[in-house]
This record gives sequence, structure tokens and C-alpha cells, in this order.
Amino acid sequence: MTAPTTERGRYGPTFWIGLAVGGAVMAYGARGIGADLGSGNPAKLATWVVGLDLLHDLVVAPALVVVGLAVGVVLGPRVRGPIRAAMALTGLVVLFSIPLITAWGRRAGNSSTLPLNYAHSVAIIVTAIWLVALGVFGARAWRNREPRR
Amino acid sequence: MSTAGTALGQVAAWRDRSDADPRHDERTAAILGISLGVCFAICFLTGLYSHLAQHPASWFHLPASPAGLYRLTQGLHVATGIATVPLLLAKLWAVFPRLLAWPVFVNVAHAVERLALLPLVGGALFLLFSGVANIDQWYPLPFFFPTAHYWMAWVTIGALLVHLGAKLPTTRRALAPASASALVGTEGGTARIEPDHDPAARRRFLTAVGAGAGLLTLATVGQTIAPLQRLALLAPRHPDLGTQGFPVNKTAAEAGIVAAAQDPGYRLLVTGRVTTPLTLSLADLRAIGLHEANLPIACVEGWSVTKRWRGVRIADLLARAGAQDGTGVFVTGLEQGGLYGQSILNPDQARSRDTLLALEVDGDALALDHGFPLRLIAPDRPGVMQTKWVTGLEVR
Repeated sequence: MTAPTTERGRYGPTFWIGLAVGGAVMAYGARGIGADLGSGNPAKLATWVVGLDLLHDLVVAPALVVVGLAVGVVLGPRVRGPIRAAMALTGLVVLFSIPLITAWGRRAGNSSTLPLNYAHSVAIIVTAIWLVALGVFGARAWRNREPRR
Repeated sequence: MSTAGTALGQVAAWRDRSDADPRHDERTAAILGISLGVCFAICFLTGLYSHLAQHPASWFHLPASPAGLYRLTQGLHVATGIATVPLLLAKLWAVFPRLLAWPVFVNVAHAVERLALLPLVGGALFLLFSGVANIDQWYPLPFFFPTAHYWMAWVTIGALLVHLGAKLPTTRRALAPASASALVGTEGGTARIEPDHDPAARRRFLTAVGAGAGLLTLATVGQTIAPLQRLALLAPRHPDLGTQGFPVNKTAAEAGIVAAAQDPGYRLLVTGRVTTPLTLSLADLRAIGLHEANLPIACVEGWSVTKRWRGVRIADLLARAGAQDGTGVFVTGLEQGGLYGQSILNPDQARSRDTLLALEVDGDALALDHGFPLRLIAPDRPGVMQTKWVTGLEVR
């Protein structure tokens, strides 16, 4: 993407108001982190915040782009939409479920922590996602079918 | 060319093509941005309420009614946070081409705007990651979760306000009816959709994003909304599973109070600003008279369930001890060393008819894990403040 030049860099009063108010709120939060989080921990928190940002920008997002492009190359235009959506939803469900499936937080002696079979749950949900994707694909194919002569 | 070089080249080509892709234009970014803004505002306000409930300020008192208010606010906090995960990922994907724009900034104000994206994006990712880890009882952070989550929320909301101020004119333009059909791509809004880009792509993309948010919500919200329990396949807690049919946050063994709680010499002390300090056995408490209340136990982690509790009204104990009107109560339990072995009842909550020291739940004696022999149960409070294994009421 080339840098748009018509408006980029021009800022009206809302920007400066937002900067003043938002900057003050950020400063309040930063002061709280410095005062309450404990010695040495603000730097650790900053590492987590910057690290998560970089993980997304340098790894997750480019990987999604490449995978999306690969799907576009391999699959035709009618199929790729439902497949991409199903892949994205599957990835979302799996990502969200990693701490559940691994049960890192489960505690011996407390049966109410992470009480379900989450691998089974993910299998059910992912199957449902792909059945819906298949249904969408089928509906599109039916709509676009060649008329009988 | 190396594989990495080829991949980078593909990403660069994708960035250039995205100018004409409705899924990456201003309108899509604006729609997702507004959705995220609403979600973060809900999470921030409900989180603030939870923080104030646990750290009372001089100007704030938890009301004693409605009884389910905290259940609502914290359920909303967690459910909204979960629904925000796909929204945030979709928004970051939609604007990813702009991250790769060149030059990086054109003047000081533009540099400040872009710099504020670091605490905004990093803060948002941190809040969602740490929040989801917390409800999953997983603590990979090397610092105290609630403190970091709370203060980072302020930083992130501040960065959001900066972003809002910068993007408000763009958002208004992008959502204007004239821009709905034809204008896409650049901040100048002058590029036209190329014929091979389907305008319906935005609708399909946003539908998929909504499906993701709805899917995660449906798969988890049953941990607090009873009729949806059967769909709660990914809920970290299940309201019907646990000792006596509902979840336990900290067991008696984990709290290290198993022997002390079962001591036959157990007594409740009522002390502080009273005319008649009391020392009461369980038989004494039953003799005072037990009352019932249907109250939710609502955890900060988002699960909640209503139970039928039976116990002694704290108001009755205060009257019997001669406590003055307007006094609060410091409740202490057997648990030592943790943050949640004690809590404070403000004057309104202490005198609510439904605030009990419960001996029974759903008709059975309290199990050890739920606070036997006595636990506090009061309306509109976080579960961690419903102190278990209560041994003392100090009137203040």
C-alpha cells in the first residue's frame, strides 16, 4: 500500500483533544503500573505487551496472509470463500481452546476447574463449522448450476 | 530467491492489491473499530465496577440491590471480552496493509498517532490474553494478574481515546452513505473498486467475524446464563459441576483449613464497635433463627449460579451485639495468608435482609469446600468476597 498523501498527517481538533485526554488516561495507568505492580514487574509487563504486539505483526498476521493466498491459489473462487471462513473459525476455536485442552489450569482435588472434555468439545464445534461451510458451498453450487436444456 | 523472500514478496504484493479490497478499506475498519470500541467500553466499565467492589473507594459503596447486579456486570465483562477476541483479530487483519504503509510517518503528529498504536494493540492483546488465561485458571504471567489487568486497561483505554481522536473524521467519512458503495482504500477516499473485487466481500467477511464472535459466546456464556448451559462446550466452569453441584474456587485443602473448620470447639466472634461482644457456637447461631435467601454466587471469572442459602442474618447478629447504625463489618475467616480470607461489608450490605452467614445450601449442610461451618453470602458481591469458613465479624 502506498502512503496516502491527501489527508495523512493532517489532524484536526479531535486528534489533539483525544491526545490530551487519552494521554492523561494512559499516564494514570502507567503511574498505577509503576506504583502497584511491584519492583521489576513494569518492565516485564512492557515486554509482554510489546512481545504480543510483535508476535501478531511479525508472525501471526503474515502467516495468515500467506495461508490465505495459498488457499486462493489452490482453490477456485467459488470454494475459497467458505473454505477460508471455515479455516479462520477453526483456527479461532483451536486458539481459544489451547489452555482448555492442555488443562494447564486444572487443579488436582478440585473437580470443578476445567471440568469438561474440551478436545471432544472442539471436535464437535469444528465438525459443525465445516458442515456449515460445506452447506454454504453446496447452496452456492446449486444456485449457480447450469440450467437444463 | 529464498522461501522467506518469496513469502515476503507475496505479502508485499498482497498489500498493494488490498487497496481495492473492501475487506481492508476504511469502511470495514470503521465498522470493526466501532464494534471494538463498544466492547472495550463495556469491558472497561464493568471491570471498573468489579475493581471498586473489591477495592472500595470513599466515594463508592456497593449497593445491596439488585442482588444480581454483580452477576450481570461480571458476566457481561467476561462474555464481552471473549466475543472481542475475533473482533480484535479481524480488525488487525483488516488494517494490516496500513501497518506496512510507507513512509512510516510523515510528520510529528502522525508519528505520535502511530506510536499510540503500540499500547493500543499490545494492550488490547494483553488484556484479552491475560483475561482468557485467568478464566482458564492459567497464570503464565510473572506478576499479579488483577493488578496488571486493571492498570493495563487504563493504558489501553487511554490509547483508544488517542486513536478515536485521530480516526473520528475518517470514521465519519467511511460510514457516510456516499462511501458505502464505491469509495474504498485510501485515507483520501479517492480509489475506486476494481471490477474483480466484489463489494459483497465486506459483508461476507463481517458475517464470518460475527459468526466467530457468536460461536465463542454461545460456547461459553452458559457458564452464567442457565438456559444456555448445554451449549457451553468451551466454558472453563460449569454451573452444575462441583461439590454440591456448583463450582469451587478454592477448596478447603487448598486453603489449609480442613482440621480447623471441623473443630468441635468452633465459635463465631462478634466484636468491634458493639455494646455486647458475642461468642457463638453453631447451636447458638441456629437458636437465633435461620432465614432463607435465593442469591447468586458470581465469580470474577464470569461463572455464576443462583442457590438457595439458609443461615443467620448478619443484621440480627449486629442488633444482638448492639452495633450502631451506619457501621460496616470486617468479616474474617480461617484462611490465612491469602487475599480472600477476609472481606468488608458496607453498612447497606451488612443490614440487608438477604445478607447471611449461611450454614446450608439447597437444603444441605454446607460442604467443607463451600465454607463449612459458616460462609458469608450477600447480594451483589464478587464471589471472592463471599468469605468462607467465617470465624469473626468485627464491627467498624
